[in-house]
This record gives sequence, structure tokens and C-alpha cells, in this order.
Amino acid sequence: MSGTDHSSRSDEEIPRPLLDDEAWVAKAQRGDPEAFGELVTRHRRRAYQVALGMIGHPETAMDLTQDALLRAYQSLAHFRGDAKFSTWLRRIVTNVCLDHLRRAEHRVMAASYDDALGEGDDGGDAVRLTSTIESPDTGVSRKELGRAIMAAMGELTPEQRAALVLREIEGLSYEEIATTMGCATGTVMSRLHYARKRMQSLLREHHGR
Amino acid sequence: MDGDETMRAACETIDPLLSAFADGELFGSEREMIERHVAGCAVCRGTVETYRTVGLALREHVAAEAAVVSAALTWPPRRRAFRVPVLTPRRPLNYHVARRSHPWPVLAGAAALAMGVIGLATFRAEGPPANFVEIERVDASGPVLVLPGKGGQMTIIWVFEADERSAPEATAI
Repeated sequence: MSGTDHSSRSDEEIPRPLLDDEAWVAKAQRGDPEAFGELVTRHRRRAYQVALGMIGHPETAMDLTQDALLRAYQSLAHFRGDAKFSTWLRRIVTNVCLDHLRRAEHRVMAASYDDALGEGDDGGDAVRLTSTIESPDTGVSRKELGRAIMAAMGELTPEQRAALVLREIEGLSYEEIATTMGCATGTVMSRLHYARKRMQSLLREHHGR
Repeated sequence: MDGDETMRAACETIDPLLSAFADGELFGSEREMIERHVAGCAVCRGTVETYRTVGLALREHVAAEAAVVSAALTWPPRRRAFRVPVLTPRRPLNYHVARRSHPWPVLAGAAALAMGVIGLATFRAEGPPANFVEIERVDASGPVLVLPGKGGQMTIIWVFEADERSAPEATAI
């Protein structure tokens, strides 16, 4: 991590926005009660986005995000700053979600997505969605497409979902995804390839029904 | 092999690389080869466009959903098992440990200062439940862990439900 020199003045004298994560982590590790709260404030939304992308169900994603935040809090003593705090937290969120998905035997997520899809169906979506996939600029709403995509996500393996979310939502490079997931870059490439082919196929099936 | 078959064969070869190509993760001659093919192949071009469209829609959908939740200062209740972290074993957490709040008896004629002194004495006498760390006393039915945010705003609170039979459970609010 980049080393910011705070030695010339105490943390208390530095305005909050100027303190970087590293400084807040150090304060939290010293037992400052506000410090971890600040880190939560900064990173909660991104953590939730990763969880939501992987899990699909808002309530469960929120649940798992808080699991991850708690796990981070409990493990803070072991955080040595070899990576950025955001990277470390992302890895925790990803692992918490992967554990959850692996425990869930079969496609609970897919079922919940199907329910969500049903809420907004007006009977004409299929044709319009098809045209959107084929031609991104046509008239179907992004929301409808988003719901269809999330439904298809439910059919991917946990590892494929994680790779896709880390790529599309977090914008990570293949190397960064590999580091986060603890696998080879080639594995990331393979997972993304199969994830996208599967998504493409599922979306076409969905449109055709 | 006619032109169509040649093109199809090229598509089959290139298809596994289109995802990485769409992500800008291919370089050098490999990238140039695919660029040339995609420029002349509507099918593969469509696949790349679809990958990008799906990625964008996924990103937008999740961001919109997350914005709703993230706007809230506090999150809905969640039960949690929780063990107190030992951040620095030689330097224990400098948190204020408070017992669960309970209604103070309203004693007519008792001075507020006297009540505070009595309350403090009571608090110290009872001490915290095992495995609980609390930072701030709040009006809750159980002990709490408060992680304050900017300017004293509460960021996240775990309220523990008293259950002596098992590990303490917490509820984040």
C-alpha cells in the first residue's frame, strides 16, 4: 500500500476526507471506535454491489455483506496492509458469497430471480428483449434487460458468477480477479468465457419462450 | 472448403477468445488477428457487442439496486453470531463497555447528577456480558456494538440479543 506520512501531525488534526484507508485501518487497529465505522461507510456500497451481483437477492446480499463486514472487523488484527483495504475487503465479500453459493445446493437464486422477473412481465417483453440483445440500442428498458440478465446469472456456477461480477461490476483486470479468487489468470479467462456463452444462450432461450 | 466453411472454422477458433477480446485483455498479434476477423464477421461482432451490452446492463442494474439500499444510514435488522475481536492482544480495545440499558427508576426529588453517579456505579458493578463489546449506550433492548460514522452519525450497529444458551447473536440496524 502506498505509504502516506502522517508523522508530522496526529490523525486527530487531519480532516477526515484526507485520511486514507490505511490511516483509518491503523486507527481501528488501535481501538478507535469510529475508525471501522468510517471504513464501513466508505466501502459498504461497493461490498454490497459485489454481493448483490453474485447472489441476486437483495435481502440475502445485504445479509452476506454484513457477514463480510463483521468478518473483516474480527480479522482486522491480521490485516497487515500487504494489499489495499478495499482489495482485502473485496476478497472477504467474494469468499463469503462463494461459501454461501456453494452451500446452497441448487439454484435457489434462480428461483428468486424467476419470481422477480414475473413481477414486471407484460407479455411483450420477450420480443423486445430479443431485439435488445441483438441490437443494444433498441427500445426495451434497461431494467427489463437487467432482470433477465440477473435471472441468467442464477444458472452460472458460483465461480463463474464471481468472475463475471468482479469483471463487470468491480472492473477488475483478469490478473486482479485471479488474485481475488486465488486462481490462475487462465482460469479467469475460461470462467468468463463459459459464463458469457451460458448467459448468451440463456438469454436467447428466455426471449424465445 | 468454401468461403463460408472457412469463415465458420475461423469463428470456432476465435470464439473462446472473444470474451477476453471484449474485455481488452488480449494483446499483440492475438488481438490484431481477432480485430481483423471481427471486422469482417457479423456473427462474432455481434457476440462481442452482446457481451458488452450484457456487462453494461448488469453493471447498471446492480448499481441501481445498490443505490436504494446504500442510501439508508442504517440497514434492516440482521441476526449475527459475534465474537469479540482481539485486535491487539497487548492493548485491549479502548471501547466503552456498557451493559444493556434499562429504565432508571424515576425518583421524585432525586437530582440528575446523583442519578448519574448511581447509574455509573451500577454499570461498573455489573460489567459487560461475556464476549460483548459495546461502544455506546443506546436505547435498545439488548447490548450493542456501535460503529460510529462521520460526525457522530451512527454508521452501523449490532444489537445483541441476550441468549445465554449459545453464542451471542447480534442484530445490525
